[in-house]
Amino acid sequence: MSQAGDAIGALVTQLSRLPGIGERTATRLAFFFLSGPPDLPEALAEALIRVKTKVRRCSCCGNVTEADPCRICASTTRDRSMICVVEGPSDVVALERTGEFRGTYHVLNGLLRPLDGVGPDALNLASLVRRIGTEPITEVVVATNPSVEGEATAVYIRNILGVVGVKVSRIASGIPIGGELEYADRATLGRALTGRQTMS
Amino acid sequence: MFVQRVAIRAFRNLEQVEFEPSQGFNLIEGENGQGKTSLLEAVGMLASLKSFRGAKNAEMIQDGYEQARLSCLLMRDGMERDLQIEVNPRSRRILLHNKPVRQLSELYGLLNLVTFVPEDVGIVRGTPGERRLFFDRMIFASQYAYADEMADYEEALRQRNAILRQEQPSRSLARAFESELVRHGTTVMLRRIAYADRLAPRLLATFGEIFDRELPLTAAWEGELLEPDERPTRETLEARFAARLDGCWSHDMARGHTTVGPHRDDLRISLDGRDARTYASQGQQRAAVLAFKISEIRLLEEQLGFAPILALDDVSSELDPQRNARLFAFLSHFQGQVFITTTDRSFIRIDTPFRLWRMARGHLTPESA
Ligand SMILES: Nc1ncnc2c1ncn2[C@@H]1O[C@H](COP(=O)(O)OP(=O)(O)OP(=O)(O)O)[C@@H](O)[C@H]1O
Ligand SMILES: [Mg+2]
Ligand SMILES: [Zn+2]
Repeated sequence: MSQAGDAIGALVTQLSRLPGIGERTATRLAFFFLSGPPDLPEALAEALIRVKTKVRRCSCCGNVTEADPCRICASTTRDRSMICVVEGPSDVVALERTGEFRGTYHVLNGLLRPLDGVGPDALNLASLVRRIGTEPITEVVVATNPSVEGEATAVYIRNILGVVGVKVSRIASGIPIGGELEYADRATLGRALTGRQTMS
Repeated sequence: MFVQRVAIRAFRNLEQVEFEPSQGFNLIEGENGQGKTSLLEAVGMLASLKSFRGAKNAEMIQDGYEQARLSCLLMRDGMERDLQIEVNPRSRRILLHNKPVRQLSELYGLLNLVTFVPEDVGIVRGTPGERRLFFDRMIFASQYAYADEMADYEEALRQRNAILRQEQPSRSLARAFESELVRHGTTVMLRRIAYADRLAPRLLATFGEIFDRELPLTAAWEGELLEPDERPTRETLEARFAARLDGCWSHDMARGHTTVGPHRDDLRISLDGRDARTYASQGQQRAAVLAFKISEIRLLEEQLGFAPILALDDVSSELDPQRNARLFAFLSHFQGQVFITTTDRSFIRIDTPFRLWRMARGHLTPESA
């Protein structure tokens, strides 16, 4: 095979590793880099490297950020008495878009999945317990997806925080069953947040 | 409701099949191994996205192809629906009127199909697992949420079992999944009990018709969490389930899996109050299975307000002459669309008009009856 063929093949291989991208789409994208805007390859490569080198985890909430602590943790106008626990950074984006929540977040970076070897230690849970002890928190809203793993993670969090004496609530399941938080529309998410229920 | 046109590409040995079935009876005749079951399996996929043979996607895609494609034009409530399914080795895509469907709930219940396959005949004598599958499919045919509920239960079960197999199983982690196991498991048990209750009077009547004798045929769920003849509330059942999971924690840890729950329950089929597995004759057992199927069809028909589509795969060969006569008597009065396969049309004794199809080496051709 020619040199050019190898380069395209390598690009297709790497693009296929992205979620939701099969080989066919990867091939189409790879050829777009050849025929599309000439500045695209460099601009994209640069953006990717910047993300890789500049973005890290907020030492407080676990969200992705360039500055530590993150913008939300550092803000002086957020409600410090309330923490919303989510699975991943994209959930923070979705909830922020609703404009309903003025507290801070805590990003677990996953859900409990014993089948895949993901236990409590693999999640960003220890720092959540630490925050309850050091910040003036009165309510923790668990906003994981309504899947088996999302619910089990919520129950687990309620059980470990129950002994600390903080109120734990769960967002109302206005989210369609099997629907991901990320894809829920703004109005639905907003309703889910305001209609949350205490997990006792 | 009926399918007006069916198109199949690269599915099993069916490289390309397109046909317009009759709204009534369709008889598909062919030698062994020609593609008759595959054709019904394809129609079943359009109804439930699952193979009634329990096959994985890759097994159904024709050797040498990357994808199988199934489509049909469905007539229901005077409306025409264009339904397509792409079966890929590890995924599938559903299109309704050429638009991708994201929520499966949009699809379920669109095509109401009841299948009757030779394996069903062994259900009385079969394993508890086979009986659960047989019964769960009946529920799913009319209650679509049941598939998700069952999937959630099985997911919670797999997670708890994974914890049990860890070196040092964490009780607190297991509790988090048990709350899901109990919630979904209770839903499964309640749905099964409720469906058995609705089936009961029809089962009794249908068996009488088939067997010409007044022998009471009953079916009731049995299991560690269920008491005979009890109709427990959700609260009672949830509390009992949670307590039993607590109680068998060390036992389950030793076994490496969960030993209590609806995945262990069994359907007790009784004839005249005695276990049909050991008490009933061969003929009575076959009659019982036929009674189950006909009752299911009648129940679904009442619920829908119209006849579902029937797919019968070579069942005549599994039934004796008397049971066959009863089946055909039932089918002769049936109002809906029927697909029935056979190796020899002389087995099929119906006096209603039918359209005859010949299946040979994966090709389907119309024949004059
Ligand atoms: N993925 C596949 N690709 C190609 N051929 C397949 C595939 N899966 C199964 N087959 C073949 O399809 C053929 C038809 O099978 P099918 O079960 O539909 O036959 P049938 O007409 O129902 O036969 P019988 O009367 O014996 O039940 C078989 O010869 C089988 O080996
Ligand atoms: Mg067959
Ligand atoms: Zn932060």
